[in-house]
Amino acid sequence: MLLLVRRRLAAAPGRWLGVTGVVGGVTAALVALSAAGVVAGDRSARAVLGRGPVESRAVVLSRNGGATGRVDRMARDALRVVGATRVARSVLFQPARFGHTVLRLAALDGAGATVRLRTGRVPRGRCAPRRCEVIRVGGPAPRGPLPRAGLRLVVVGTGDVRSPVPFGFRPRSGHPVAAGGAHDQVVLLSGDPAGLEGSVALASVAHVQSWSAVLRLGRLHGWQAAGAARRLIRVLGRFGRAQAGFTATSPAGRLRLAAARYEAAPGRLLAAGAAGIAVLTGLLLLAAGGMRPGVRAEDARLLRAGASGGQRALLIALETGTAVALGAGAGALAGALAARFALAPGSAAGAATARALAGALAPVALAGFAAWALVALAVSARPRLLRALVLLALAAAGAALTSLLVASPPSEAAALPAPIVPLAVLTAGLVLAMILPAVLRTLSRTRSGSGGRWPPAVIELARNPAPGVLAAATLAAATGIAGYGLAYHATLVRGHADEARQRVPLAATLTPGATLDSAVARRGLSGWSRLPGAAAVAPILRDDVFASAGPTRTSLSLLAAPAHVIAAVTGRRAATAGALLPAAFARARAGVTLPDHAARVRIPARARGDRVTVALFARSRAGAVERLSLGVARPRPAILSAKLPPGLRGGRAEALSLSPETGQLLTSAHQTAEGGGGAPASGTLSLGPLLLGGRRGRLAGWSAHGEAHGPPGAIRYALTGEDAAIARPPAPIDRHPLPVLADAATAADARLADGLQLDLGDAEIPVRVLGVARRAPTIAPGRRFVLADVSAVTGAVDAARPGAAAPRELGLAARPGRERVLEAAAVRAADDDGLGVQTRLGVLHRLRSEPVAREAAGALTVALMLAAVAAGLGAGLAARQALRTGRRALLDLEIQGVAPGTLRGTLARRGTLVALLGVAGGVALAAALAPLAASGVRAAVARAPDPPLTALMPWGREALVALALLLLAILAGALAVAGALREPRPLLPRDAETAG
Amino acid sequence: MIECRELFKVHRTAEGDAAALQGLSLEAPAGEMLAVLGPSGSGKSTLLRILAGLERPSAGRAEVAGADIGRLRTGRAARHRRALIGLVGQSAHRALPPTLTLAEAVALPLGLRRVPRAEAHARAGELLERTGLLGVRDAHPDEISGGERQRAAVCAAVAHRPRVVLADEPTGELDAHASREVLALLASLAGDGACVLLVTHDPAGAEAADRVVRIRDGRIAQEGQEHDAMLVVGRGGWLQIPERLLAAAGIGRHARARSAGGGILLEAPVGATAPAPRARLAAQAPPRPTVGPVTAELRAVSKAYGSRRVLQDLSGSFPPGRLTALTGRSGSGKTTLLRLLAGLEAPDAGGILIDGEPLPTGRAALAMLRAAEIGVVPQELDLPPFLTARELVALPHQGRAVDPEAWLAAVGLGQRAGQRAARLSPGERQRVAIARALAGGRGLVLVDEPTSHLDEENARRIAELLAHVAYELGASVVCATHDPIVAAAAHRTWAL
Repeated sequence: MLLLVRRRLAAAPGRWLGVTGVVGGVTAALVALSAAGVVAGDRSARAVLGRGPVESRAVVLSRNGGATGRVDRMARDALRVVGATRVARSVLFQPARFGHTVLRLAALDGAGATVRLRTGRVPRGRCAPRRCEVIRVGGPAPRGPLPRAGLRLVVVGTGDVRSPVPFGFRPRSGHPVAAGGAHDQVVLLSGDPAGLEGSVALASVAHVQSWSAVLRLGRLHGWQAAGAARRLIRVLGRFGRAQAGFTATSPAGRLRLAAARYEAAPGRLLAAGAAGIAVLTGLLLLAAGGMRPGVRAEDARLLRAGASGGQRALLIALETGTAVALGAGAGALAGALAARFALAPGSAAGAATARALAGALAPVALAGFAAWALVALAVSARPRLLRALVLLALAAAGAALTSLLVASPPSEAAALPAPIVPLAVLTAGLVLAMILPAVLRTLSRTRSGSGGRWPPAVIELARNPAPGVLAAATLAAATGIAGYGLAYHATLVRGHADEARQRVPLAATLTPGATLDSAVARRGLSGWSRLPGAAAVAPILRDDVFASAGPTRTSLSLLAAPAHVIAAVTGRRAATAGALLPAAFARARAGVTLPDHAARVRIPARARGDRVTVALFARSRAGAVERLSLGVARPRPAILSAKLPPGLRGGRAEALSLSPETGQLLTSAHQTAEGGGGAPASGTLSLGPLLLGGRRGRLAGWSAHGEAHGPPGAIRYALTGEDAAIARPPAPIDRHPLPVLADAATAADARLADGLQLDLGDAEIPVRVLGVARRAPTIAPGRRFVLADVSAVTGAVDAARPGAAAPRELGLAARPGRERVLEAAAVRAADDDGLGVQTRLGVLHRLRSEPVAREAAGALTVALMLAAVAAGLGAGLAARQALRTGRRALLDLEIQGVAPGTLRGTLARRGTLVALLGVAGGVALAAALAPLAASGVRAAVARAPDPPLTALMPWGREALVALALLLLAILAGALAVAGALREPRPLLPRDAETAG
Repeated sequence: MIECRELFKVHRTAEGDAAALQGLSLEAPAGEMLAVLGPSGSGKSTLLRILAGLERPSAGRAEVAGADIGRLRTGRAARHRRALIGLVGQSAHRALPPTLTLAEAVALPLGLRRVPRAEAHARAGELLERTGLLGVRDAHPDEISGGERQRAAVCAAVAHRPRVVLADEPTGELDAHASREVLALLASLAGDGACVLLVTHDPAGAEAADRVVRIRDGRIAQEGQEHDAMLVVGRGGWLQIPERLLAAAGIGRHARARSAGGGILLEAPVGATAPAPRARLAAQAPPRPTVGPVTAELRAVSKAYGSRRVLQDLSGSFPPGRLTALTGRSGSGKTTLLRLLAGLEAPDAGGILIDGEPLPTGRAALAMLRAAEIGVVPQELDLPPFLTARELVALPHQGRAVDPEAWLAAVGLGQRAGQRAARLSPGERQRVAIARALAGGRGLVLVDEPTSHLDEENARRIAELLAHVAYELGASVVCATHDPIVAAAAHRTWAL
């Protein structure tokens, strides 16, 4: 039997090389996909490991109180075991007052390496009671001389600590220690933690000491992350058990996340590429068709010669197995070589290739076995059994597909189960293969019945559909996959753009940095609008507020930006968005101008009743609002006054606030705290015009609001809290509620309650919901929101408390084609001003560089290429097979006088018909698969994109691809038969030649 | 050794059920060579496939070497066949693995039965020596002649010393000499104690057999050689009277039977109209296409395949209105000559003229010439299997007025016009090919072994049709044959 198989394989390699080639292609694709998965997973993991602040990569062991030398050694050893190369011990004392200064003492091993010196030098020597050298790394310079009792601190320089790891924050010389921290706190750093910690003078000061090290996670590969996480947890756990009182922070979570990303990527890529491989199934069956006549003939011979069933099966198994095994081996080798050479040097190409091969082993073995079984069945089974098997496969694929679709219906928000697309392709191919012959037969009968006759090409296809239908099914699957790939790509690109727009509505967004200064405060709107490439600036106000709709009170996000920006980012029609800015809400420049020459601001005041503290809200030219306390109005007429800071000169007085006198305010608060009701400060207040360096600022039209009412000349008040009433010019909010857009739920609540009230803390603003927005930029999905024009919101809030609602963010819009210029300028400017910045292009770049989504798109590109190959090869193989199996029939027709050109034309027309049927089916399949693209992208990116993805099918491109595949298939089919029947004489069968 | 009782076999097809066997009963003891004759489509091959366990009967019993093979499970039937039965097929070139040498091919069945290699090769050598093939033991099947291949196929079929040998028209494609060799080999097997059942329509096969039975319509109708054949009385008294006797007695659809002188007298009922004698096919007035007279002429034509010279300086002509029979043993060049005339091969030397013009060069021009002037019936028939008989006849004559139904009726296939070639028997396919070659009214008709798959009656019918086309319609018909019926109908004979 072996001899027979060997001779057969050697005699006609053309018969089985097709199978070998396709299996080789599948195997190479699997190995390449596996390699791409390893690389994508590695990149994804490394993105997790290398990204984020340095403290997220640090291991820190901390304990309160002192530590012996043994503990020090053990802590250092534990950190070294987990891969730390440099361990720093640090001590941080709680702030303590030394004389006039609040000192916070700290010490750090090797301070010289961690501190960026500004002045002086780094501390030297041990920290001893008689001399302990320190540098100032935080807070202002001490106001007086440092204490000497028990510990003589000698400041030898100033500097900044480079890393936040040792102390949990990053003290900087001349800066407050932390946001909200005491501004006068001074941080002094020694270079000798043990010495400082052992100082008797500090024995009573609570302190924390830490051993820290920054792990070089960026050097790890994805496949090393899981091991590193396990080792970290094991070592720190062991250390924790040995040494009580320690707390440990480590990047174990980050490592595990990286490991999870690494492990998930190959599967996701294989899932993406599996669809392409499913196309090759059809090609494999076509190639197997080339083996079928020879094997069937040999099987019939063996049957007649008395071979047992096992021997006949062995012949088929050996012959098909050899072809498949050769293909699998060659494919694995080719895939490994391609992966090895495609990986950039230095990217651990060898290790990645080895892992790719190991990862591909199971899929290759499975695919190889499946291919072997498929080829053996296709080669050996009788037509009836084949039909039954096709039906069975169709039923199985259909059932699996249905159960998957029922179990997890694809939607924009759900990840697509990996097998759905390959199963859909397989099912569609099988359905087409089952339906097409019946359709062709029916057509053929119809024409015969009407007395006409189809061309022989159609008749043959109708009556002997197997190879042609298989080619059509392959082509349909290829076209369908190509369509899905295009839809996937378009959806991914659109999703990235939407997500970038969602995160950064304009070209860039500037946010306050560590200093908490806003971008507007740093440069003013005009300063930002002068940035290169800037088209416009948009102040953005964001706040978490409460909304009251009748009895319902819910938390929601208020996002205010210029109306045109809201219109652009929410997709509302301009007309609707324009309603956000009714003329009445155009913020008038109301108030009294503060002359440049005025050094003081004064106002005649008299309170008939309880005393009232009067303050002035003034806005500078730059837009900053300041509250100036003018004094207390008493029953006796008096002129209240305050110094007008230079920054406010030239600005405007926007409102006068009224509060109970401090004593009454405290008494009232005490009474309230005790459970009683504090009595309000009540009476009538008379305020004269503002006196501004010889000019009078009339308060005509002003009136009191809040816990007071009436014109400035006769304000009746009953005040319970600070700034409980305000006197100001008229504002639009007095007459109209604030127009907003809201999410559907909030809009529904407002509709039910016939109105909505926003509580911004300093102000309660009535709002009117003009329309519903499906989503809002930068607002998390599911979170309620209202969107409003920023000037309308600030105007409304200013009416309650001027300056309380200043936009903290700034959006920068770019001129067309100047996005990159603006991005660079904004990043530079934000860096200079210590602001946070996010650019849309930057976000887009990060999203696009998401490794798995990118590689999945790459896998689908490969699938597209495979589809093209499948289309060409399928058509070519079908044509060659038709030529081979029909060779004798063609010869017979030629003997009867049918010209070879006519016969070639018949074959070419048959190929064209097959290609047309296949591509038409493929376009239908693409239409069916396209809606799954959003779900497919969702599966690849392994997160929920915001906004949700919308499946997109670029029909123009799909039409072009379908046309290209059609032409390719027709061309391949024509080329396959172009050389046929061109010998000078017909090639007669050899056995016939030797017959008498 | 073989005992069939009331065998029925119904083939289910898309066009309807067809009964191949209708209560066939047969016995053949060990040591006997039994020839089964019958027209094409009478059920001969079906009987053989049932006896080989390759098909199951619809009803009845088929006992082979002690087992009812029709009722055995597939695996047991295969084991039974493997142990006791040798099968000789119709086409020798399909019986031997083309990649093995003759010695390997003959030894292969023994290898399949786990006979040690040395023993298998010794047995193969013995059989090849006995059949005169030892000299070509290392040749591949496509390097030897058809007769040699068929003998090698018989060697392979009997290498394991089967007790039953089933041979399906083993001499159908062979000349008389090669046929004799094969038949002698089969007879020697019977002599060795095997039961040989030979399905054939070759009179030489019948003569070589110990006993002859004839099948008609799926039943054994007659037994014995033609000159003293006895009718076989079937179950329930069914008799099948030969058509010529019925026609001679003027019996049509009804007959009256009565005892007469110790026998049975069968006669037409009184008053019944005698049917018209069954029309001879040639006289069924096939269409009379306009045939332009064509003369084919050979001028010192030579042709060789490698070192083997097949034709040497052959000259002569084939005038219109004549049926010329080309005769000669296998390898004498009959088929080669037809191919040269059809332009399917080029002569090594000499010239071929059609109506005084040399054959054109180029496949397209030659195809056009054939379409217009030359009808060809090749020996190896590979009709496009997806086309119906009607379409096959009409296809080469597109643009010309051809009546496929009439020509199919002329070859006795009027009822099968709508059947696809794949579902026709070899004999029926052969007749379709003949109808197709004659239908176009072409002046030169080249026919290669037109009766190799036909029974005697159909062979006679086809011979008469060819003669009719030549004599009555004026075509020049050249027919390579070793069938004496065709040779007898020919106007002249060329012996090669």
